[in-house]
Amino acid sequence: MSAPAIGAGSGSRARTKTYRKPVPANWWLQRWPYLRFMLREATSIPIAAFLVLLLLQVARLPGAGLLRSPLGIAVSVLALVAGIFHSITWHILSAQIFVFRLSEDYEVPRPVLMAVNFGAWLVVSAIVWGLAW
Amino acid sequence: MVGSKGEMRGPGLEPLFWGLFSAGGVVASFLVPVFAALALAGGLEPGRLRAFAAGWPGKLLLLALLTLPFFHCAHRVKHVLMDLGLHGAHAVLGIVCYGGATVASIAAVVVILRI
Amino acid sequence: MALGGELRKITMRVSRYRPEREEGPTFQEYEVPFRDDWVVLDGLNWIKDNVDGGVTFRWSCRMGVCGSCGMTVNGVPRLTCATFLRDYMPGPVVVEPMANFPVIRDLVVDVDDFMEKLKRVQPWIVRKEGEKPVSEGEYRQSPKQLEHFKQFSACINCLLCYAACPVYGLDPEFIGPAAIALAHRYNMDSRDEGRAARLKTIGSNAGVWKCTFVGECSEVCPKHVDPAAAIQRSKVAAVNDWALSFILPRGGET
Repeated sequence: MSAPAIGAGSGSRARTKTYRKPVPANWWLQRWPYLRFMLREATSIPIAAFLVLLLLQVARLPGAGLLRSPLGIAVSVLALVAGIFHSITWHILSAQIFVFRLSEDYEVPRPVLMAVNFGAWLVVSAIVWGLAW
Repeated sequence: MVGSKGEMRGPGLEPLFWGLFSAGGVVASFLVPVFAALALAGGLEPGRLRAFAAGWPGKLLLLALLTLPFFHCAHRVKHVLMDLGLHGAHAVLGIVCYGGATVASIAAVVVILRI
Repeated sequence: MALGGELRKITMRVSRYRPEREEGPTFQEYEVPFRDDWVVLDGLNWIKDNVDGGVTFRWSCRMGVCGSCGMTVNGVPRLTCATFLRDYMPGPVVVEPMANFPVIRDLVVDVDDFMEKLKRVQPWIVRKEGEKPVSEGEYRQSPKQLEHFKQFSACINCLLCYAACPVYGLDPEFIGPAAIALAHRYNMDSRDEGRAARLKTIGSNAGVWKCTFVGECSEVCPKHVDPAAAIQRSKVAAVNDWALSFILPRGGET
């Protein structure tokens, strides 16, 4: 950029060279909220692995017990932990961001929405558990 | 980027992928923990799994679980990889992630409906 | 308070950048008097008044309503007029310019990018047929209708949300939290008819779809606007519009 043109209008465009700090590759390790975000997103990996194993198990029926193999157990444990973390964050966040307006006057309160989310999670889980045994 | 106007393009297929991610997230949030617990408790070993999938409730649950959540995971994996620096490869990442989810979902539908 | 002669001090490490003679920023440390009721901005002003008149930073109202004094304090985007030195004792307090923006000098950043994006989302009431004449009376809005968007109208354009957003940091094309929240504010205003017009910006590839819901924007917002919620709700609206665009003909709505 050439010498500053003093008094020449055109708003706030910087006349000197600005400095842009590069975003480091490990930006997500710099602060706990960013790391927590990455962990939340990373739950998708064990969950995907588990679902692939389950799909393979269904495809191979009656086949050998893939999910009871050492790999299957490890993946299931990771998927259980990741799945619970995903479910908790998902139910909390959806209650916080979604608006259910039943009428012009009435918006379902957040605590109610959260209770419904977690309640439904429990009910569905119980139904699935019952169906399996 | 001072005063960058950028090239604003249409959203492409992003709304579709976000919609699938969202739906998959809901399904996963309800079903993944209990299925993982079942797997650990032995409830998904081949004999029980066959019985589970024999009826329509079981089939529908498996159809939901083994399709939409794949797109949910694909969307998250793609964006995590981009956030880790692989921005430029977003088209390739999309093909690999969403393509994989599509293949898995089709396979799931075929396999489950055959039971 | 410094009663009875006990004078406490706190170290402030301030980022300095003088483009006329430096390639990049460096830190300069100052021993600043500590007073219980002082905020970071007070410390900066003390430095400017007593030690180094060249320290350059923006501020105005010093009470959290103008949005001028946003900076990075110990790694977190904060309004320096609302950040107490006592919360950082024994120090040091590290003061840097707001992240994700080009630095012009010391603690001052170039916010032209946001200004341009703000204009793009048309943050005003848009009427399809133009304003109705005064003779037809005022636009009426109930308190309940006001509640639909009131929270999002509290934005003071301080840009802490942009400083906190890792997506904006990695991809400056992103329209960003405040601009989208303000678009949402007008979309939810019963007097407005501009949703389709705004969709071209917030529903574009640079709009809501770049957001991965990190949520830090809402965490750092000093006015509790909750831009993250605005963006997610806008995604739902945009998906509906996108889906409908395949079913309904593209007539009328531009």
